Amino acid sequence: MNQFRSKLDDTDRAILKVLQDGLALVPKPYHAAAAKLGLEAAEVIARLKQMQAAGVIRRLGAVPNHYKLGVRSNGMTVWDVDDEMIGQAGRDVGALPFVSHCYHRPRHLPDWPYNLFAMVHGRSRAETEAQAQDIARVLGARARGHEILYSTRILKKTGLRLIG
Amino acid sequence: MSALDAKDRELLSAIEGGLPLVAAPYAEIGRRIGLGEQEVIDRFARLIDTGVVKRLGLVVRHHELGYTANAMVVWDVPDQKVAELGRRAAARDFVTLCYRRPRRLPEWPFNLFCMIHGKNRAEVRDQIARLNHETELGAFPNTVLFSRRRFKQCGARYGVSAADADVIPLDPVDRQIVNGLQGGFPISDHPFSDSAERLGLTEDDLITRIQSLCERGVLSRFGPMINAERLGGGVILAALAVPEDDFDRVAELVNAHPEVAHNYARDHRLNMWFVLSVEHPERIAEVIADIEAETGLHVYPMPKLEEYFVEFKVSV
Repeated sequence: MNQFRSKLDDTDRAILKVLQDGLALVPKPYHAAAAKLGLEAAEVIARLKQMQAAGVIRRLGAVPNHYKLGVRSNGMTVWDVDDEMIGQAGRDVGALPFVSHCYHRPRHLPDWPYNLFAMVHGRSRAETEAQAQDIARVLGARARGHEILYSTRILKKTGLRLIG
Repeated sequence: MSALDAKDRELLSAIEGGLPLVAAPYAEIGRRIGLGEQEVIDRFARLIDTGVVKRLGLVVRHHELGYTANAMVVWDVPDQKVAELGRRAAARDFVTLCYRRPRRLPEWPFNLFCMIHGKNRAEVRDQIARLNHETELGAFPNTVLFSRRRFKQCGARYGVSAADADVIPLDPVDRQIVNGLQGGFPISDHPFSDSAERLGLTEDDLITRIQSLCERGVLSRFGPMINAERLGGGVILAALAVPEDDFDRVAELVNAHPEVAHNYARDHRLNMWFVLSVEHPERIAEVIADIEAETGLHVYPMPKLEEYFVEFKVSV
């Protein structure tokens, strides 16, 4: 993921800063951004396409609030997996269709013994728990223990903000 | 800071979205969380007495009332004067919020924040001038940030309760838009027209519906998702074990950092989980150190060592 990095020039940054609060909801939003910046619309469009191709813009579009859509049970399942087996275990869990994010992260012993994180989302806790059971089956003896941390409130959700 | 019990929290969560518009709202709230009407009323009285709840009632949507101009005014006030000048500013009726916040040197030297509302920018500027003139505030460096027109954009969200966020019913066209536009939005001269065509809508209809989805909170944002790592920046997940009775204060301190991209309350001893997303990787250690100093709590950094899968789209 980090193998190639793109540096933004000042114009790229200025474009992202104008768009990071949301696209103007007008027929020609990129023209509106260009007008604010004193640029040609064609340049804004070309640079956005470049940034998207380079992966700097992961995607452009709607970012839904999943709580409002009825996906209310968002569980961070965390697993204590044998370090020797974490790579294959992570790939196995990441391949499950209902897992949206899956990472290897460090333990903080003794407070935090878990090193594999998998996010699951359900319409109820029962659904989330059934998903955790599926993960437990896939991990088998490779996992020594797990917990599910449910989110109870979104305290902030802004995404990366370019500052300065 | 007063301690809330579990029922108090349920009660607060139950009214976050507003009091039910029925003849006996407290009875209705009580029914939802399993308390009698009188106990709900008693608990509210206590929460108001202890200052946990400021007031119950109308929170005016000032925009709909014609207060379309609002500005955030920030000052760089000497630390020994900020409390007094903050109180003076807060006493003005056109000042709707007034906070002391940490400076972020060197980019952000300001430590006193006020929100000022008015019917137009001229009125707001006049109010700011009066505030500067009639108090000592005018003697200190300051700047005015006018907010953009809120209904034109779909920006960031704060503080949505999972327990309380009402599920918004969507009609088939809304569903089609939410499903269709998560995958991507065209980068072209007439992007709304292009995607409207794909969805079988008119351009005008699509724009109006996206506005409405943003206003109803169904969409958190409509814009670019930036990949900090591809920028040469950094992303890290981190956790805090926050004492329950200090939770909101700590949340405010953490959220005040613009580098905090997401923050979630979770039900665990490590009960606050936030993501730092920064353009310059060295900021991660600095922000973590700041948060530890401001909150007095240990930050547990949870950097990813390996990524196995990331793909999140909600289908409705």
